[in-house]
Amino acid sequence: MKTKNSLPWRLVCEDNVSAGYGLAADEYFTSAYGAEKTDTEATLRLYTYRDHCALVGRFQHIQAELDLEACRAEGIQVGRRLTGGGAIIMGKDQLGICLASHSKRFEWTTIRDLCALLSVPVVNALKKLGIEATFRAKNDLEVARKKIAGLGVYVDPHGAFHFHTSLLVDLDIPQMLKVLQIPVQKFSDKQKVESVAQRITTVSREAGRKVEMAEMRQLIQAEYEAFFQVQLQEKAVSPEERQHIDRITEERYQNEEWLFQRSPQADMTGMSLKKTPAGLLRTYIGLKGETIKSVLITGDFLEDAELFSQVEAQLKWSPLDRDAIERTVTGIFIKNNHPNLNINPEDVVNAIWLAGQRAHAAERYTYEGSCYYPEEGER
Amino acid sequence: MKKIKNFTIRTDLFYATEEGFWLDITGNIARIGMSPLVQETTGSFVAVRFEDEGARFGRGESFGSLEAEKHVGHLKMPVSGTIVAVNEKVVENPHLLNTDPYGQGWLVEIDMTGGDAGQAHLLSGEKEVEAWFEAEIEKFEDKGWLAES
Repeated sequence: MKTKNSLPWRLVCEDNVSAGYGLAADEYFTSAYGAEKTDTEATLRLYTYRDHCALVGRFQHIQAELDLEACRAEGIQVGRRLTGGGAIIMGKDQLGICLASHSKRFEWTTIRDLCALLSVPVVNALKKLGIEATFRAKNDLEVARKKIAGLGVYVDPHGAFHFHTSLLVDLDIPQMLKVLQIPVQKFSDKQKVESVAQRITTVSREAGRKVEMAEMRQLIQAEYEAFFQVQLQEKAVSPEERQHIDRITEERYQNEEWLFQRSPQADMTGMSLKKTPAGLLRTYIGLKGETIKSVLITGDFLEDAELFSQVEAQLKWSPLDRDAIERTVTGIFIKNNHPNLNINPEDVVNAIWLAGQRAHAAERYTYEGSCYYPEEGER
Repeated sequence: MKKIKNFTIRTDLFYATEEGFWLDITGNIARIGMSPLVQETTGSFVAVRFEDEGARFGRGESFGSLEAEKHVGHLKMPVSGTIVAVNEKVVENPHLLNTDPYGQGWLVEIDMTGGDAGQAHLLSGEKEVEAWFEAEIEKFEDKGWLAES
């Protein structure tokens, strides 16, 4: 695959960057392509954040997504990305892969198309480690139904873009759970870790050995070079560029108006408990207005049920609409040849819908309060 | 209304083909929304924000931003104008962009008074709109980005 021109590509490698700098540098390189002030075709930035930074998506409600008190106590910096999606934790074991360029330089039709194209080298790099990663609904990369990387795209008004991948080379799940608000607050710490470990994996875990960041970085670089038939030329951030990035950091990413901007949509959570022939089905849901931002379906009998992981992934960022939920769940049951789980699709649809209705009716998040979680005994 | 493959399209409106917007123009006021094809190929919208009423924008300038499937992009003004109304319903429930693009999913209304008279680029006419839309569908089908009808 070749881009439209034959200009060189730039490589920027950085480590231990702050939340503000990390995000501002992505924006800086993007805007350079928007202003056409660059003599390179694209810039690939491979970087790590300082341990740790918690980053929310462009339109998320930061107080609803992060435990800000815990962030302060743990010395975790917070930031708001330009890209969408959910809250993530980044640090020395998560590789930030940011490709900045101009959309006119690539062959693409839709943003999905562009996203798929630009993530091919990441998939190929994982393959070199013996890891078969594939796309999952809503722009994640997964391995055997577990998320290994989150993808996002930001396109500026001039058509410049950055494509960002947050690759989990390793992950400290308990640390993540200290600061991210997930809709299973009633779980014990052990249950929470298990719940996340069932849905997320890492490069080291899949490779069966500790994969060093340097090795991962080299693989990513090599696969971008091979796929786009270019040679990346490493060039560090210059003092002048640093000044620009520092200004963006100060003006946007450290600006409280940016960080704490209000979302017009309320964040709500709810749960439902439903008895089925197979056992108790426990469903947690997080809503943003009328949108499902997360679903967790649990039950002792579900531990290995891949089908529910598919339901969770498919419903993420979809509308809270009973018909749509029904179509999704039924479709996944059909696709999986109706596995013999002693649970029928109607039970699952009803459980999700009930949780959604409860979330919708729940107290809405306010700055003074915290997320509302129904009592476990409530049915 | 015209049914083209799986889409129902209004052929009585103006279209900014580059942005994929429709414009319902009465006098100097234009209501702007997204064509059904844009919402289909972009995915499920989860957030939309607009600049404030009273703000003036030239053609191509950003009057808002939106998020769909972790992609964040800008809404670019198809003609010059001043925002006179924003659709708060769509801000609260962005899925209206997907479910009712010609109705409750409209974006903003603008006053084009004093603009640069740059409306010649807008497409109109039943046959012209139909032909454009069919070509667009074909383009996306070739790429495999639309479900088979």
